[in-house]
Amino acid sequence: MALAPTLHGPRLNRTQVVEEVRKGKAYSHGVDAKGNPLVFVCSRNFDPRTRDLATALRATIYMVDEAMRLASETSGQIAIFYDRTDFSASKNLDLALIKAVVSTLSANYPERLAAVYLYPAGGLASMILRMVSPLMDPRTVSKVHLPTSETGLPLTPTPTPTLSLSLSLSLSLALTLRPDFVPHRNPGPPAHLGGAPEGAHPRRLRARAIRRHLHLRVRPRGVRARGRVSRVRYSSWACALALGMTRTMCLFVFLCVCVCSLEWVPCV
Amino acid sequence: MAAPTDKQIHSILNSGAEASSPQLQEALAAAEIELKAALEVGSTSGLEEKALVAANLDLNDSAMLRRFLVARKLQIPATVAMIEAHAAWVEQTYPITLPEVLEIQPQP
Repeated sequence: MALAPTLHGPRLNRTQVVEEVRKGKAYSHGVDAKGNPLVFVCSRNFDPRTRDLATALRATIYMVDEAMRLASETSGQIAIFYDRTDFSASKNLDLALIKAVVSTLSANYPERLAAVYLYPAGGLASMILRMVSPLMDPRTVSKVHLPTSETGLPLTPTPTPTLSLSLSLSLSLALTLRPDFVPHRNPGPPAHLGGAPEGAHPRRLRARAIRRHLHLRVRPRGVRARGRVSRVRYSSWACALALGMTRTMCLFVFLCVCVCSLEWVPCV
Repeated sequence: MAAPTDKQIHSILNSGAEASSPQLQEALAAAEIELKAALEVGSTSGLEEKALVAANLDLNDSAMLRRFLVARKLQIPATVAMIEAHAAWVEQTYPITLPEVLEIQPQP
């Protein structure tokens, strides 16, 4: 495999960059529905404890350069697919690297970003995007997409079977790729094993799943046997509400930090 | 047809138009000429920025200049400052282009 000598130099440790690339944090694979080369960013592979910021930044620049080389054959723009599957905020949140990459790309790669796809994105993310969109540049807002289901994904209907990274590191990266990154729907257990009956309304199924989840996590053992069902329910929902609010607040603060660090976006 | 005003350019850019948009070609062509002249002068009196730009960037690359112009909404001073900062970054990041090729063994 040949690594293009793009970033070779006295300020760069080639071995470290190769190691960073092999971690699979980002890789170029295929094109989106508009033909823009897709750069996948796997948030689950980020670990701020095991990386050197400068090296990680160089490796990211290398990957972006390779994607730009692909994009030069088409529109000259790339699309970023931010894969949040198996993301853990405590383990994988690397704000320093995100901030460095964002500021570097914003200042040096203007008008190179065609779209950003954040997947999986829940309703809360789209709600927050709607809230902060008046504060953002309209061009930026139009580039952010939050697909909530597989049908909203920007992938071409028949993606190329080969891992056409067209990078010099394709073979080494192919070992870290997950072509099946799209999570499949879990049908859940059958009815005779405690699952939902067939034909039930989806909203009822979801409510049932939520109730079961709350009972399992919040209800203290033996309380129902003493006949304090109403109090248990109240405490369960109160705890759930508190937990939900805490998570919402954390997510909101996190998004505010992201938006503050996304000052690059208007010029991308 | 009259050239679009600044307000029209902003509305076109906010609608998601790119540097290749036909609505912007006329304004971009005029701004590109102005930008080249401004880059020859430089945003400051120092010669270092001009030398960096001349050494690291191809000012005949029209697509690159237009991307920077669109990013700064066709404002010449801001675009000149951005291009000069970009030239300094290129100088710092890509110091050497080695003819050698690094061989990487694939992982088992």
